[in-house]
Amino acid sequence: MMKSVEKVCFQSDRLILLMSVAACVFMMASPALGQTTEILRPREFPFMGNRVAVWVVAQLHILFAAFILGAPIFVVISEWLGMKHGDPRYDRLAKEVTKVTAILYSMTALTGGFFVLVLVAGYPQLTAWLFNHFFPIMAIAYPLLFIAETLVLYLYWYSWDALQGDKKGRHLAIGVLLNLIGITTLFVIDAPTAFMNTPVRATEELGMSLRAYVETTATFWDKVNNFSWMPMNFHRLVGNITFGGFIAGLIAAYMYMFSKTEEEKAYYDWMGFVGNFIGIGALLFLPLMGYVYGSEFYDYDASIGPYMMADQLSMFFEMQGGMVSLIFLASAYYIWLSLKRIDIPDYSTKVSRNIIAGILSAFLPGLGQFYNRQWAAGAGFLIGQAAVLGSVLYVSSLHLEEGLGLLLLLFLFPIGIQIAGSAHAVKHAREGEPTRNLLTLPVRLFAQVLLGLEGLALRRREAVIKVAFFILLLGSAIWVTPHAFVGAVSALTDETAESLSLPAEWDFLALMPAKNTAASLMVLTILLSFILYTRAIRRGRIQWGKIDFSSQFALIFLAFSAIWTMGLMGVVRSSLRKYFHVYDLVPDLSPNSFTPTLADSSVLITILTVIFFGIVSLAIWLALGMTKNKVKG
Amino acid sequence: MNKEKTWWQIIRLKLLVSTIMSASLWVGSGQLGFPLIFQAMFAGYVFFGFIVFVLLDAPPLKAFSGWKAGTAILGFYLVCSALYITAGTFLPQFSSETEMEGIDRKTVKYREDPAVTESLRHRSRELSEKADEILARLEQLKASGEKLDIESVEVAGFSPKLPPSRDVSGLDIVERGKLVYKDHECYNCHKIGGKGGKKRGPELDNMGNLATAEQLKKKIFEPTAWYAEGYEKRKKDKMPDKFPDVMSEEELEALVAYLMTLKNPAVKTPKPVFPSGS
Ligand code: HEC
Ligand code: HEM
Repeated sequence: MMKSVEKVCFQSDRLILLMSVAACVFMMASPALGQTTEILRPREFPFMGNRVAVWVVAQLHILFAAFILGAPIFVVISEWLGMKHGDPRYDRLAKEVTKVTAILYSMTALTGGFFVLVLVAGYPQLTAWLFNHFFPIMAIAYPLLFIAETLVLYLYWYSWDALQGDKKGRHLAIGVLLNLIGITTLFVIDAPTAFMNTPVRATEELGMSLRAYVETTATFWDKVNNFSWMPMNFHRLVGNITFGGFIAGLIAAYMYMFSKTEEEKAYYDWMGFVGNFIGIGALLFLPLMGYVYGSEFYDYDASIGPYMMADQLSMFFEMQGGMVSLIFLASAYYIWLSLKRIDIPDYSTKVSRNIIAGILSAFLPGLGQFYNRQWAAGAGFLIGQAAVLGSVLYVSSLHLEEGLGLLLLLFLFPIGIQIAGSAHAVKHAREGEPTRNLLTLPVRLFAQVLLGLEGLALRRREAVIKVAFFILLLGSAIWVTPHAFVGAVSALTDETAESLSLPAEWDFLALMPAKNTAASLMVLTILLSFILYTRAIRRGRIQWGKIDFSSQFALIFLAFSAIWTMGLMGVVRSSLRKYFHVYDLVPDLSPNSFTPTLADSSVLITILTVIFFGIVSLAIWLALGMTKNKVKG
Repeated sequence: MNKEKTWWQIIRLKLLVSTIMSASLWVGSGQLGFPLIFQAMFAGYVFFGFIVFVLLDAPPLKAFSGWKAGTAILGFYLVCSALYITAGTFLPQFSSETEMEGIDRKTVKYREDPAVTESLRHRSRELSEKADEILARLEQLKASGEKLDIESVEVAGFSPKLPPSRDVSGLDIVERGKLVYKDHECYNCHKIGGKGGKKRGPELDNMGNLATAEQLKKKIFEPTAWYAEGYEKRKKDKMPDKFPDVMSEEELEALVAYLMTLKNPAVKTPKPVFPSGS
């Protein structure tokens, strides 16, 4: 019964080994090619040309790589939760996602091999040049890392059943190791990629040209540790977790739709909830990280900022704004449908009259909790506040006005955290001694306000979520308002400028402070809805398996749109290099050096997303659908 | 179980509210001087909001499974794909043609680069070898009496489309300078004649009266050499320092010749401030 699946897995094992060997050979051979550039001339790929060829393989490779990187993070967290709560559903979820990962692993290796092939055939000189500069990565670290990753993934997978019970800790350790290797792989390969966007420049004192510096003086580490490397690492890492979560949601949606029994439905409904939860949880960090990423580009070269936001790439960002808005709305929609099926027994708490006193005490709860010996809660609170404060200060140091949007977060975030801890604090305070009682009065008042608000919010939860939707719509409207409806500034003529641009006094709608405020508002709204949602789950009884069927389409939509957005941002990152392969350093002298239009890009991104979905759907069916049918039938 | 609402019951109030909202946004934004396209966009937002709110109150979807679910999923992907392609296509596009012209002008510098020239020379040598080969084959074929369609003979492994470098030698130096200004996107941060980017760098309309050609050259290739008055301390608003890496002497020469013609004292171009001691 399980035979056929085992066979598939076995075949993919062999495929992976084969591909890894092949890839290693390429990796080893390619730097050597550097010495023989003379005999290398580029080949032209039929039908699509070199640029599209490299675009297709690179994008597919990154999608699969992102999945096999993001999914294990998700899987290990899930496995750990299962161990902690003693809930077998988490373990099952982790195992199912790993099964799909194992199949897609071979696709990563396969597309990676093709990627190098296309690079060597289509861009031999550039490839040789890059491989020479990043020799320790390309020839040593990267191949070793993905061989190690292959081995550890199989260890992880095949030891699953053996390492149960009190040996579970060991299995988790293997999972953590797997993730360490995966994340290192990401960081390592990001170095050349980021370098192509922001090759390291000499300091002003050295006064060297970019070319002279890179070719003669810059050390390997200088080249690795370039401007956009770290922000890219973190942006991709968090992006990959989002991606892993949404794909888990996709798996759940498929399986839910094809489930025959109520039990199965209940389980996959729950899995969709968890996938969505992790996906959105990570997504909330992306706007801020994207902003830091963008700022780093701006720091590297001040002309990149306007090029992205106001000139040639502005409509790409228009599209991105639209996509992100849709993603936020779809996740709120899922929360909404989820809330609808929660039974909350009559629950009411008086809204405290001392709202002002409560709000004034907003700054004391952290200390109050220390006093109450709630060490963990107090520390957590303070750390949370410090983190928010830190990020606000960081951003404010970039641009004063832009800090303002985040300032809102500073005030509201602690309140959000407090909602979680408040009930506990109140209980504790009530039981405490009189003096202690007096000292924690502000905490109690504050907690009471929150409890009152919470009760109110829970009772009127539908209204609250509708308000949240209104804010989300408003936020996205600001986000997608462009400074002008034009593809590039150079295309604006005297006649069209007026009829296509915002009026001068409304220009601020298109500037960063407005966008940041809108984005923060949306993040915050989702955060608060989520808190409300989790509180509702805790108060009430959730009816797993009874969710509105259209929620499954919300899950599918989230996965599809998130992946489409990744493709779009890939085009943006590559297009930032303008007519260079390596920005300002290695020019692209081919007829393909222009920026692909948004229309052309959308078509190709869609095709790639659909191909990816086709393969992922097949993998899900192979890993989960087939076994189930066989076992049940 | 409460009775399910009919679609009309779900829609009617929302329809009323959104009609009023979009109408007032349309009129209001028109009054405030927004161009038509923005008025349409605002009304469009409201329409989108209407759909979202209808979706929120829509009656639950009946579960389905099997081939019906499969078809529904496929159809859903189709709709999403169509939606994104349409959005990407209907947003304004730039012209790759125009961009390519600029790129051709800007890459002249690299085509003169010894390393690049070397590889081009190498290519042309190979090309002539290929040509010899083909001629030899033609001779052979002629000898064997076969017909041959010359057009279909492909030179393997070669992209015959090495881009032409646009000829700018015929241009007047100031006209050439204007092109350089455009090619290197100075307009994203500077204004001339009221046109150009917002609030980043100073308006340059009176530059010719304030600095010498030598000083301007210095500024563009070494932005920290001196600053526009009032910008010395503004850390975030700065000139890029990449121009020596991407601009040729010929371009710089022309660009500065153009900047020197800008002599409009009516515009407050900040004057240069040189570091003390120089
Ligand atoms: C990323 C934005 C940006 C770009 C692109 C840019 N500049 Fe600037 N430029 C500035 C800023 C900001 C200042 C003021 C600070 C300073 O003097 O360095 C400035 C100052 C100047 C000044 C001195 C102005 C004065 O009043 O003294 C000149 C001249 C100048 N730029 C020319 C150019 C030219 C020519 C280009 C195109 C090759 C260009 N800039 C591209 C931002 C930019
Ligand atoms: C099978 C294990 C592999 C893993 C785990 C892996 C992982 C990754 C990851 C995580 C990224 C960054 C993508 C992102 O997150 O956006 C990446 C990029 C890349 N990979 Fe792999 N990869 C594998 C195999 C290969 C192979 C076999 C090759 C070629 C021989 C290859 C070549 C590349 C290249 C060139 C990039 C850079 C792409 C860019 O420009 O962004 N990879 N890989």
